[in-house]
Amino acid sequence: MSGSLVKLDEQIVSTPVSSVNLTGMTSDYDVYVVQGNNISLDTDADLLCIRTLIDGTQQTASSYDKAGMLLKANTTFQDIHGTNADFWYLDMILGTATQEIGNFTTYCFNFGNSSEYSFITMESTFRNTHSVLQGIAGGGIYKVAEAHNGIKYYAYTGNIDTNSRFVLYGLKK
Amino acid sequence: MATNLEFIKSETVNQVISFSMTDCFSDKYENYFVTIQGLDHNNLTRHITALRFINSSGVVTSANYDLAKLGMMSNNTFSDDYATAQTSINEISADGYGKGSGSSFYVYNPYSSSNYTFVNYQVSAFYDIHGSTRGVKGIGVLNIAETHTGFNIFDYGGFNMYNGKISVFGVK
Repeated sequence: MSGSLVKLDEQIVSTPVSSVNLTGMTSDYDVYVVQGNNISLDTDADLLCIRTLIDGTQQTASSYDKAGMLLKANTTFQDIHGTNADFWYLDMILGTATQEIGNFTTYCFNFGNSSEYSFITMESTFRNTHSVLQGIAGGGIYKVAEAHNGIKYYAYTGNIDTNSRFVLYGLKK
Repeated sequence: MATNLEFIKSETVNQVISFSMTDCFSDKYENYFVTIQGLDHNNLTRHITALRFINSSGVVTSANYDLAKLGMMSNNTFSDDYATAQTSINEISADGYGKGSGSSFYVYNPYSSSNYTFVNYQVSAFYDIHGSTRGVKGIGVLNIAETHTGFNIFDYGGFNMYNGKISVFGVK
């Protein structure tokens, strides 16, 4: 798979912002990858949330489902699931202490297909608001058959902090 | 067209207990994708392989690794395995009876001197005398903010590893 990943958008937060939009999804690609690293939030116990975008407009229908396993380095794991929410989230409940940062890789499927739902797989690895290593392995569906040409990451209550990095790639056909 | 998953290096692993993939992380990339394929233990029973990172002084063996992994057996119930303050991230690969294995992992921020180094990993292994498949989804962190230039894998039981090929890609 060497040489098959094409960078379409990159956002490195220079001052705290409530959200980051990644755009540039076109019919040139079927599958997209979003990678985030060094993600931090400026409010303790805040969440990084995800929504699909159409021409820069976030989609807020209560049609986001997800299911996965939340791995924890200090206790038994947790089934995480939900239906009909108005956003996805990676269960990254981050804090503001040193090294309470998150990293993730998300694959996006069918985003350009107006006749099917949009799907994502999610994997993350992060130190949470209690400085415990956690990570999610799972997936999500946006149950609206429409084409999306971007994806939005936003903090649930506060801001995404400086130096957080988000990159959107297309998988070359 | 210029693309952004760039091959860095590939090495073979054969008849060694420990193998260091040196000088594969740099300031050119923030994140990396690594594959390990074919690794086995030459007909020995189930074995697991562990991961450590390499800094300017060598392999980091201090008890600063945390991990969590979901072990999924084709013939048994799944298991939650987790630990803190370990000297390695274990089961970055696994195999049994010389049948090989496949694993991959993302490494986040290894070269950054200001961030901890994180991994997401997944493994598929022929693992058991009964012929079961074992899958692993795992996460790990080295809780030291320092620059890492490579990584080391080693057999968790001190036996030789055979037939492995490690490839490292930079995600630009």
